[in-house]
Amino acid sequence: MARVKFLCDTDRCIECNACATVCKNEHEVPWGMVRRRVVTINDGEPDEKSIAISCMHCTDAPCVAVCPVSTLYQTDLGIVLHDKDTCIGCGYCFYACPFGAPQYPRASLFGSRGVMDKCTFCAGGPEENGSEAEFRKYGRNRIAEGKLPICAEVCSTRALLAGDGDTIGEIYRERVIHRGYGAGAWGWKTAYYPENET
Amino acid sequence: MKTEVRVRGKDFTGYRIVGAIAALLLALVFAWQLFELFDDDNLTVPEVRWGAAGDDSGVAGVLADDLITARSRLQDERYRTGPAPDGEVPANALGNEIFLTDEPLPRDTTLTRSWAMLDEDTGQMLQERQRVVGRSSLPYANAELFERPFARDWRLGLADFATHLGAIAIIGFSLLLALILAIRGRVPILEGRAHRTVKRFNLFERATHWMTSFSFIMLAITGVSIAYGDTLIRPFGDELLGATGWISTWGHPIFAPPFALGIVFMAVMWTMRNLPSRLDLHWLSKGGGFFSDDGHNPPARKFNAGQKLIFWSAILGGITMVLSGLTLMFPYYWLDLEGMSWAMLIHAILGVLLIAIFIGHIYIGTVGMQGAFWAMWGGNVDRNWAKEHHELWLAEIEDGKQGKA
Amino acid sequence: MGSFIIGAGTAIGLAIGTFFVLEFATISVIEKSYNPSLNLEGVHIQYPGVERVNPAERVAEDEE
Repeated sequence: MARVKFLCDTDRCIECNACATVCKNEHEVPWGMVRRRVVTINDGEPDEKSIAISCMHCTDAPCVAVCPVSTLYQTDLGIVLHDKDTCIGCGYCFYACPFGAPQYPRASLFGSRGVMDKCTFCAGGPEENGSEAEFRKYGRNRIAEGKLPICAEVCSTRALLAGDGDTIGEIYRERVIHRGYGAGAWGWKTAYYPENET
Repeated sequence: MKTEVRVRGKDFTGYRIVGAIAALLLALVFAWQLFELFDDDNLTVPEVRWGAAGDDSGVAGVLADDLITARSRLQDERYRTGPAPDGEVPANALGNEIFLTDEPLPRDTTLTRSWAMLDEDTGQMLQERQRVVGRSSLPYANAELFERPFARDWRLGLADFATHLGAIAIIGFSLLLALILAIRGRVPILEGRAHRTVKRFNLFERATHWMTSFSFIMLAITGVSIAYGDTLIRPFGDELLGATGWISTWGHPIFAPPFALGIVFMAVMWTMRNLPSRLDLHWLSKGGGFFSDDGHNPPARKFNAGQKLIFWSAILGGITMVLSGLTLMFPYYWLDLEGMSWAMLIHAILGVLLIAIFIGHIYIGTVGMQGAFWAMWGGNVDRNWAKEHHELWLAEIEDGKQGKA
Repeated sequence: MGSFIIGAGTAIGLAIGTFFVLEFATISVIEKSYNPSLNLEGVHIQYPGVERVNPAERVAEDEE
């Protein structure tokens, strides 16, 4: 069984922010929210690196564990999805998320934060796959169409890889062997192998 | 001062039977909670599986697997996968047809455990787990955050520590009180009622107490339904859980102002009389005379050491709860993400502890002690109750009256 | 009993008051941030409104 993952090759990412832009466009993500971001570390120094980050769809996902109203759930592909009809905007998933993925409308601060929104691995939500209701709440369901997330498929340098973890891991390893260096899979230990210490 | 014992705790047979039944029920719930602590269900497992549209053959997942894996290979180097003019267009690379549907999956930890297994090839390409914050050109709150491993510890703190141990504290303390009621009975007025009353709290004090307690109970109910909704409400349906969730998210903050106001009034009214004194050590060393009916209650002024402890948990706990709660209502106003995480943890853990403590307060003020309830309900207490539990206070007010006369 | 009714009544009154204050504040903040003239500094006037439809269906309609 495939287990989907995201992998960002930091030696290739050029911080063009195309992934963030195309995601907002594909899913018509509302104002003030962003499902995918690009973070630059050591900005302006020789070892500067850019990494595209969104929800990593963790193994033993902490957001699902802390959600008080069972809004968040995981599928057998490893994709973590959310149900906007039950979300109460408590913010627990944001505190439990190692990657700052859950987003809230900036507008409603008082009493509630409004309903949470996050990366769906382009797999929609609990509504019928491909339906208009699903699109309005969660954006397009590309997985049900047999496609991969738009952010990875649009990446011009193929820095951002998405899909079956073994397959993209193999692509990345071959690439590292071929060019002779590689910074490794950022965030994978926290996201996918929580029980492996150090 | 030796009192003549006319009423004993053991004489309250009806109360003791109710206490025994409650203790039995609570013991069952407590055992269930202990089991929950160790039953290893804290692992997140998939609840939905993907399958081919209209396929009931039981091979669900195979098509999803094929589609995803084939499509993943397209991200290999361009000279292998195209797009090249003479390249082959893979199936389902174009078009918008829906291939996959999803359906519920029974609870099973196998998948999660297999995902967490690390093979050697993958192990070599892993980055160290560390906190990484960079810069981002995107104008959003926390956009510069890449990774914070602390979040996984936060999850343990909230989902395991606060939730499970909080439930054990609340249920365990209730069980203890029920056992005390069953075995020891109520704390009696040893000499029986004198049928002469003494004024203990004026109307303003009582109204403040009830305003604060009513708000606290509403806060506790809404808080518990948020914290334990998954256990208590979810069996009745996800929709109901969402609805109670919404009511609780609004109901919880709106009772914060009356609660905070009550805390302030109580602090102003009662702090002077609740400062610790040497009498308290004596009172505490005797356990407040709680467990014996021999008529040797340690002397106390208006508030004994037990009441002082309750007062200070209300004031200090209440202030901390109000401040952390306000912080949570206005995210990132004065704290960053890490600060907010701690505010949430403190709010949750202190919340369940305060609920446990105030179950004790409610117990002793109602069924636990004969005559205590009327101090807050009507404001007057029986003179014999005052003599047995607060003899220095009684002497104080009666001397005062005589002095005037 | 009078004290309980006064206390609980005050608590409920304050809670209802807080509810209306919170709701008013929430609505006004939402309206403020969803008002394009405050968000887009007037750029939106140059463009017509966007229909929120599924791109999948939009393509299908174009082909017809």
